[in-house]
Amino acid sequence: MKNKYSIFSLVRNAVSYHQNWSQAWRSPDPKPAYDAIIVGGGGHGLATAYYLAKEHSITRVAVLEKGWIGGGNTGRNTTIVRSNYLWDEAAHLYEKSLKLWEGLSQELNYNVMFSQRGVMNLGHTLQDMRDIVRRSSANQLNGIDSEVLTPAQIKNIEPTINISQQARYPILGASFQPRGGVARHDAVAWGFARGADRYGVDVIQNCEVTGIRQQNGSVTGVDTTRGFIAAPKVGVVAAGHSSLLADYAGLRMPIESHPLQALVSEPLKPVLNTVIMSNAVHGYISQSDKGELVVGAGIDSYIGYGQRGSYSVIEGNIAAIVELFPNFSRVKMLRQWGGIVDVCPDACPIISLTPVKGLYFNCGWGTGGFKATPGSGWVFAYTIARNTPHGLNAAFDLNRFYTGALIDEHGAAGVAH
Amino acid sequence: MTISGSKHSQFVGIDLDASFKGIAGDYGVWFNEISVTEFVNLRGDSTHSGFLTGVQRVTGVELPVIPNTVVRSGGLSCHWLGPDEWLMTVKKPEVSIMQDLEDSLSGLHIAVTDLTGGQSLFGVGGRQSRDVLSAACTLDLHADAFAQGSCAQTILAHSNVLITPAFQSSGDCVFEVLVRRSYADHLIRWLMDAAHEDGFEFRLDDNSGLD
Amino acid sequence: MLSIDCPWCGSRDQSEFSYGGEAHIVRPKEPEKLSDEDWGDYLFNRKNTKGRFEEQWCHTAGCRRWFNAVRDSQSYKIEAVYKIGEQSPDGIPE
Ligand SMILES: Cc1cc2nc3c(=O)[nH]c(=O)nc-3n(C[C@H](O)[C@H](O)[C@H](O)COP(=O)(O)OP(=O)(O)OC[C@H]3O[C@@H](n4cnc5c(N)ncnc54)[C@H](O)[C@@H]3O)c2cc1C
Ligand SMILES: [Zn+2]
Repeated sequence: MKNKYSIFSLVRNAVSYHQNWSQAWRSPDPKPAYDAIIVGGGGHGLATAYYLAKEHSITRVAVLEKGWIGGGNTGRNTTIVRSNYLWDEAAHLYEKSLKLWEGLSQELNYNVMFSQRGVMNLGHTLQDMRDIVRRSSANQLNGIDSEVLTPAQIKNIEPTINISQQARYPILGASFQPRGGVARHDAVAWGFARGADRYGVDVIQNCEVTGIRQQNGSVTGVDTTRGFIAAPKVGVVAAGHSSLLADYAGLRMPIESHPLQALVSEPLKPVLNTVIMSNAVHGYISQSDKGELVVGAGIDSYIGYGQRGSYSVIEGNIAAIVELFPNFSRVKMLRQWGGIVDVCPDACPIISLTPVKGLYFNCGWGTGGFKATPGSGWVFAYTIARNTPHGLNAAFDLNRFYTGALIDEHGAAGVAH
Repeated sequence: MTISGSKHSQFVGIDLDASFKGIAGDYGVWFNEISVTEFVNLRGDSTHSGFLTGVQRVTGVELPVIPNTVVRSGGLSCHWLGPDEWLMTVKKPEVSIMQDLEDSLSGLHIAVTDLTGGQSLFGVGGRQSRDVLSAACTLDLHADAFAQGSCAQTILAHSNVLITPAFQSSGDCVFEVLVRRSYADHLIRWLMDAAHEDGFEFRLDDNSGLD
Repeated sequence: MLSIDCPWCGSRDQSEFSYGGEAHIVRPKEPEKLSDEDWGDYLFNRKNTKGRFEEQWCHTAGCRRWFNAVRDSQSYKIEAVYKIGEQSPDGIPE
């Protein structure tokens, strides 16, 4: 690979005072035609392009991004990665993704800072604990690492957590996935962009898709702010904007777009060892390598494309975190922002062919698709290349909303992430 | 002193001697208990004249049809809750309207529901009462916006409440706060905490200053 | 943070309201006669409009009435509210 990042390239470039690093990816102008177009330069879109090129040798590919790559939910999320979902279909899909995460930095020759520090889902009621035991057992049957912890074991891993039984919602236990963790969100987008670029994929930013053209029921290309671009295959991976793109193609989607917020604090010395999530009090928290506490909130109930949410939501969210970690009550929050998440009725994604030939949709990841980035790209590339879903995503097709074969992951996906 | 026995007190378990002088050296806020002997929820069609007269026959008052208003008369208050829903509170032990309403409105499409025992009513008065309530309520409680004769259902410290301003002859305002009984303890403690800066005391003179 | 005009109570804080999603979805009169596609479409598919959007709200912590609003889902500005049973400003009858 040209310009491979290594200790040698670091030394070589140090000699020239780091003035001569080559661009990680090009900024090409769009060509008139491609073999496949990916709409949306988030992690999922870029991963799709990467695996199309790498696994299926389809390299005449363009990724069209209306803003900058990773500027959507990919760059706005709290980066929790885990695979402990309840149902077989979801567990297999997220586990495939987790396996890809485990080798991703090497695969991409780009440090995505994947840190397997473990993810804990707390239980605060007897019903929570029953659900946790059930989900954990299901995970084990699927070969996914999962343990049920007692409050004392939780305290052992996370000494600052409040396990007092006097709390309004006392912690009764948790499920724990040691292989779960966090990654660096931007790096994932950049790593896949660089990887795809190496195979000749054109990553085109500031290029909004404004129409999807079709002829005799087959897709022929897309209209963009930089003109028409032809392609016999178009994969849409536009997260919160999926309904708009479906509209361009005359399709209806079971998707609603909601604001979802996150916050980070001032940097602190290391205080959190793992990732803590709680459905019942609704909050999730981890500590970034810079030392910031990264806190995720819930969605606003209303449809919103504004990339900002309500104050009352973050207020409730912070109250939840302070309930779990009373010692954080004096911590200053520095920044707060929102993303637009594409919520699906069964809290599972849609990775599917559509009634329009050559048009594919990958959406509905809602509040929890970052963890699936490599796996989602991997199965979507397969689906586009072969015009048929892979076994791992066959159940996640659009038809399930007509057959009723929903995959209800509200429990495992319950808290946003 | 703590009230322990009385079934009807929302102050059960709260230390009523826990008065606390604020920065100004006095009590900016006071709380008192308001005992209500009957709470009745009434639903019906206010465009139906038989309904309106039927209610008036029993209560002596005209049902308020303007949103967020209250009509009071001789120990009986009638609060607008919705376009077809009202709350009646009776503060006289010797009066009961439940059965009389049912009889008077029989044959009409109505619902009369006894809520007695499920609700708590207390007063928040004093110089700083408006400030203390405003700390946990998004409603504009200023007298210009929330005048005599108004009432409003809203959220106070995460609890659903019905707030009714009652102006005394001195011009001072006492806010009557109605809350579901199981939330009363939380709410009073929250308000005691919020009133620390201004100082607070409990007044045991039931219904002081209120009609 | 939204400030929403309840058609009965007037302007109140968003925290007093619950959201009900897309307005004017009519429940099919004879569901058993629908195809699976039409039933699925009724149950799950939504407009999810970016821009002017007709939607349902309930004043949960106030008068507890459902009503409709026209809100811009990008600027969040509320253009109009109207009672259930009233015509939308765009003339969609309820
Ligand atoms: C606050 C927050 C916290 C989250 N926390 C977690 C978490 O902890 N763990 C987890 O697994 N997931 C989490 N998520 C969810 C996760 O971020 C998303 O599911 C995932 O990143 C989606 O990736 P994507 O590539 O599909 O979408 P995006 O990154 O949003 O990419 C879609 C891209 O499409 C582009 N686009 C849209 N319309 C057009 C158009 N017409 N033409 C061209 N381009 C277009 C957009 O600009 C955007 O860049 C969180 C999300 C948010 C908002
Ligand atoms: Zn109202």
